[in-house]
Amino acid sequence: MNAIAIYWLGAEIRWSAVIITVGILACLCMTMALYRGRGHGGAAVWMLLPLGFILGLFLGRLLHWYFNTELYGSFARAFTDFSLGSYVLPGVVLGIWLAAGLEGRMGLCSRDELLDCLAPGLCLLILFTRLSAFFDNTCRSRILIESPAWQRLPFAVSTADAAGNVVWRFASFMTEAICMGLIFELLLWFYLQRRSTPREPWGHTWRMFLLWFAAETVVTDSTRYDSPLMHFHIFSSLNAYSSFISFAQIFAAVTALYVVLYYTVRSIRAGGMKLWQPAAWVMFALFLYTAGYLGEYKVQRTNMYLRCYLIQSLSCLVLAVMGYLVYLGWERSLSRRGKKPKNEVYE
Amino acid sequence: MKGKHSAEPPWIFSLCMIISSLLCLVWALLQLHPSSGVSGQSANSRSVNTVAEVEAVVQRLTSALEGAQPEVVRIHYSIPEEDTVAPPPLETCYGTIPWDQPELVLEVLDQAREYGLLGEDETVAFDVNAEFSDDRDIEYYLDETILTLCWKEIVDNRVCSFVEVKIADASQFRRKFADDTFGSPNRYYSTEMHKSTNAVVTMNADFYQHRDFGIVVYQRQLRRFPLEPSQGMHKYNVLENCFVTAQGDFLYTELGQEFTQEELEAWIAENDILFSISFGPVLVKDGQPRQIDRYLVGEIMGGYVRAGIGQMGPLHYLYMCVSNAPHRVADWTVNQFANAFARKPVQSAYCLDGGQTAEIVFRDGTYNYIEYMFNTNERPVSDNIYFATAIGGVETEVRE
Repeated sequence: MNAIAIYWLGAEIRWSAVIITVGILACLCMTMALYRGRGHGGAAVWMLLPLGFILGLFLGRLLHWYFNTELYGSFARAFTDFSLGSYVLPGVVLGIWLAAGLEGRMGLCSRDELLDCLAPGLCLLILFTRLSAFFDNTCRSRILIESPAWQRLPFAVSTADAAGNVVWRFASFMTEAICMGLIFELLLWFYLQRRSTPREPWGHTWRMFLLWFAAETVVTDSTRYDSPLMHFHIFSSLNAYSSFISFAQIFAAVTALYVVLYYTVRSIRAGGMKLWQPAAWVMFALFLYTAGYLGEYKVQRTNMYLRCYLIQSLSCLVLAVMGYLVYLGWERSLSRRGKKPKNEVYE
Repeated sequence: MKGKHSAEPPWIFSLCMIISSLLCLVWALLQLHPSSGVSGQSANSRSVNTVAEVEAVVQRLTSALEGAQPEVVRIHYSIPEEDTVAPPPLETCYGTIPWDQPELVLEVLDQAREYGLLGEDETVAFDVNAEFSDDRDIEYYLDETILTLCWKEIVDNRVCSFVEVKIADASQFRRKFADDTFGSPNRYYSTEMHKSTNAVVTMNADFYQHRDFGIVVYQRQLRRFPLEPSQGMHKYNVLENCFVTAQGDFLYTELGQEFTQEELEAWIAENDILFSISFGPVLVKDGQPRQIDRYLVGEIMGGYVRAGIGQMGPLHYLYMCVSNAPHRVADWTVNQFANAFARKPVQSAYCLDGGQTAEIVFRDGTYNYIEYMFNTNERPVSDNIYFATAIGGVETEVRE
């Protein structure tokens, strides 16, 4: 498909930009609906769009520049020549989180409440962003699909190389879009059914988003060949241990760790140490080992894609379920202590 | 339930935010296309050197109209420098010779001499009396512009893969960067890059993206010149760098050799440098092996898979790679590799990135064993070097 959708008066609008814009609008509508459903006006959401847009793109671009300094030539070019380069998605997520935090600090809204309403919409935005890649003929999967039986969507996508040869690659972006669709459904269900506690009524949907997005990112990011690999400019001796893992995977592991620690530590404070809390930590360490070593390290050095990604996907699925169970465990600790979470009614 | 932060700002604030949001959306429409960034440049198809072609046609027409016999002796083919894709090789020019009948290669060499590719007395590296490895036949590609011979030889009980290339024009020796862009974050399998360039044979180079030191010249431009200190030198001269000129010759800089960026740029222009390879060290100089006991990259004192490229003469090259093979381990130090390389008739040779990166791609697949776990899997890389046929490229009439 032609990447250019509209060309008018010297300005070109690409299909990918159109799809991403549709994604932004979908995110805006979803967030607005949930936020206004809480009885608020829309000002905080309206402000989140430009603020999150600027901070998200800035951080996404900054990280991309950091990992690909030679591509841009100069720092200034990274922020003036937008026909070159790309953005790091975790940086965009981080920027949006910062924007919500700023709004909270300004007293416009509760940060966690806004983030909870934003989480499902953000899934839609990522979904559309991934789908937009199909309009630029650039699915960036490192897995080549040789068998004609699998050379079709949603398994594979065809790309053309410079000489015009058709190459079938695993449809990484389509897979990620499907995963984000599922996470969107799950988050919406979670948001609508979740019970809050009097002390900490908000932030759980956002944390579940972080956890499930992390579990998804570890696998799908691994299948791409263009993910910025973790490297340090200052502590460069660490690169020997980190340079096979992408920044997105590190980000995912850190956010997943944050969510698991958040609920386990709070449940210990609420109801004391129980067996399941250290069990959750052991499970998390196992997840790191299977996803990191058995999955990522091995998959880069063998052609056993199916086996490695099966192990990695299963461990990430276990992590996603475990994170939810840890949340339920925290809720139970509160209710045993007499602080029973009350149900909320959503109109 | 309303939170404590539910005080709504005045309507003018919301209006401003709505307008800002709309502006963001318009900007996104015009500027946000993250997928197109680098790879958009890879779609750069082969351009045609129109001026040269038109001039050739005009010349032929003029000669025909004047009724004069043009003094054309032969047609010289070349590939425009700016092309990112070479003319495709011809399937009929490939051939395979059983490993135990190496004398049949002599017929191929005779044919190359008939084409004028090889001089009558020109030395070749291929030796029919060598001990050939039985796990792969001898492969070749021959047309009027390129001779490529691939074979495996037992050298000191190790399996060495060789590629001997003679080309008619220096433009057939080319450098490929992922997405044809310096600094591209993308990495591809060499077999992918081989297909995307229409190469006859592709070899690994320095994997420049894997490190941030050394000098990188690409498309005649100095792209990397790091001045930071390292190992008592600057990052740019902490390696011996190899430069390839527009005439296809190798030039080297020495370890610790100092110059400013302006001096280097002037030197690049003066010597007509097309691209560089930054790994090293120089293995063979003036036909003699060099012995080095300290070097920043390549773990030179350890026993590893090694790869290097040498120049035998004008437009005549030899690539050598010692790889692990069944029952034979590639465990050469760089000095041992240099000694083995110097036994071949090369004037100079330069060490390329070895280990898991060492790879030869010929025709549809890899030729050597790849040392990337279980010897089955290719390693995605940022760059390589390749040789291509010029048949189908720009034709120039050469008069004598």
